[in-house]
Amino acid sequence: MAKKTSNTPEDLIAQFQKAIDSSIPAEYKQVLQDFKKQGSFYTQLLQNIKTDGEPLESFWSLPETLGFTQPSTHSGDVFNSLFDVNHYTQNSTTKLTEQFSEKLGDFTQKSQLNFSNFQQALSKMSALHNDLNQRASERFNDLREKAEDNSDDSLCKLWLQAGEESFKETSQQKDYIDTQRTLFESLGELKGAQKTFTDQYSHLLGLPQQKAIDELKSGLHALRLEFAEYREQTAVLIEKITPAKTAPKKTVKRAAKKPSKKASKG
Amino acid sequence: MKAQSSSTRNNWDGDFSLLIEQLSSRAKQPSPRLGESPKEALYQENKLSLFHYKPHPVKQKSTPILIVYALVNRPDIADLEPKRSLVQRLLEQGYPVYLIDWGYPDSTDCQTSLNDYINGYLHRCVQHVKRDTKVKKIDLLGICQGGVFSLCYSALHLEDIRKLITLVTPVDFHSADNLLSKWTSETNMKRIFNASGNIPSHTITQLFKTLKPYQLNREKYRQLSNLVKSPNQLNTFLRMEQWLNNGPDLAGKAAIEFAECFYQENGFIKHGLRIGGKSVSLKNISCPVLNVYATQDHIVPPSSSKALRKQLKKNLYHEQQLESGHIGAFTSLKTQKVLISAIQEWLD
Repeated sequence: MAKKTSNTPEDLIAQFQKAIDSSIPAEYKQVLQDFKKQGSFYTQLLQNIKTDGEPLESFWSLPETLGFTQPSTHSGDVFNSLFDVNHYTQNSTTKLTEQFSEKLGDFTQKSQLNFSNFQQALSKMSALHNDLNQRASERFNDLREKAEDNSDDSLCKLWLQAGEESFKETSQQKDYIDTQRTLFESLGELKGAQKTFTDQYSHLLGLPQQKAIDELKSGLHALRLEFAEYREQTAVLIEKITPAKTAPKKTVKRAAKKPSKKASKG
Repeated sequence: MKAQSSSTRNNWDGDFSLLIEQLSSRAKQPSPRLGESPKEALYQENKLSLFHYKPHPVKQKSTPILIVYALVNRPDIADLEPKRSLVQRLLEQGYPVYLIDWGYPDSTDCQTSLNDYINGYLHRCVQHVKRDTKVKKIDLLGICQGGVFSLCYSALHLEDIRKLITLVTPVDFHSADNLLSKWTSETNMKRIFNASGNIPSHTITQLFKTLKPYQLNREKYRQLSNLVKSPNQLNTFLRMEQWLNNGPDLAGKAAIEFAECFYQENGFIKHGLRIGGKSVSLKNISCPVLNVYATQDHIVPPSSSKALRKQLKKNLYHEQQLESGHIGAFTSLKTQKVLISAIQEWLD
């Protein structure tokens, strides 16, 4: 095990960047990026806690906690995730409408209604998130006043406790559940409208429509089932007509050390 | 990474520096993998593989165990690494072990239903295990959603199952502390998810991470010192990350049916559950059942799992409590001993 080296923050950033630019596996790079991100978060959290008067509410921001800190417009998919509320909030005025307009052309009345429901739910959800942040911050201050241990480790644990307890309360409120449901349902319907529009456009271009693709999928699904049943019946038949073999050995003499060539990916 | 006088901060920076060194030094080594126990595919159908694990050189038990994992996430977690492998612990006791790997459904699988999974895939796998081991009945070990499937199967195919183990399995989906159920109970699933598509794995991952957002998204990255002190712990962490990030998409139709039948209609408790046109009542189960639940399970609360007791005939029900969370129930070094001992005592 290598010994710890004393690093200045600049050394550490350089070391990190070197690793990210190197040929280590992508999954290792992701792990390092995740740790770096969370390390920065805790650094900032502790700094704010120790500086009187610094606001703390934003440290319980749910969209930030869930990792939606970067707008996901680069993905080209406005429906990237049901949970990416932060992204929708950032784009909920003109930008998002433009994106929907581009995708859907002229909105039907139903789409407009869904979009309006979606915007209302989004605005309500943002308010609920702010309420959660406020509640967690107050709870944290209460816990901190009662705590005897003021170490960084203890402060981080109190931050966690305040967040989880507040989230547990908020997330079970009828208002939160109803808002989340409306948000997801209207987003789902907008996604459906996007699909309908794309489908109509495909038809104009002479490409297969969703109905035809669904029928093909149904056919393939039925064929797969039929074939599997046929194989099963054949296996049963073969077993019936094959003379019974001797009983298998009750003790295995030697353990296999390597996977069989037959084994496929686990 | 801003400069900070705190000694804790310096320690974390030092640990992070060590982590960079350690991962950089592994550049040419293969990353630690899950599911490495030797096995062969006994049967394959579409994306599914039925695996048979190579037995250990010990006296073999006569009844095989078929492990049925959830559709959510990969079954590799049952064979996380040698020391934390449920599969290995069962093999050490001489059980012939089989496992269903549902594979990665693609868009052509979106119409796969619960009936297809339970009375199709699972049924055929059970028949293959029976034929391979030349027994009339086998033992099922269902984990989480796989436990739900195993309960349905045992209620529908009495002739196939000798004993059933349900591990961290939800039964009452409307128990007071079930957050997932509260979130989904009145949701119109068909408005959110189109049955002509699948549900992306990242949506499911986010959903589960949202149940304990601060714990699951931040806290685990704060515990860095433990990882850099021990290569074994780092390997376990890397395997867990790999498992968490490699989940399969869910076949659209089955996922919607599961949410409706269980999370919304609470089918096991309200007694209206039908699979493939047949009524599924847990009262029909005729084999003994060992129900194992975890006290700190935030995905399947103990109350949800323990509700099985009232649904079965009295003499068939047995229960085992584990002091762990959902996944720790079968991967933690400590609980694995209790789990295996309970399984062995009950099966033999």
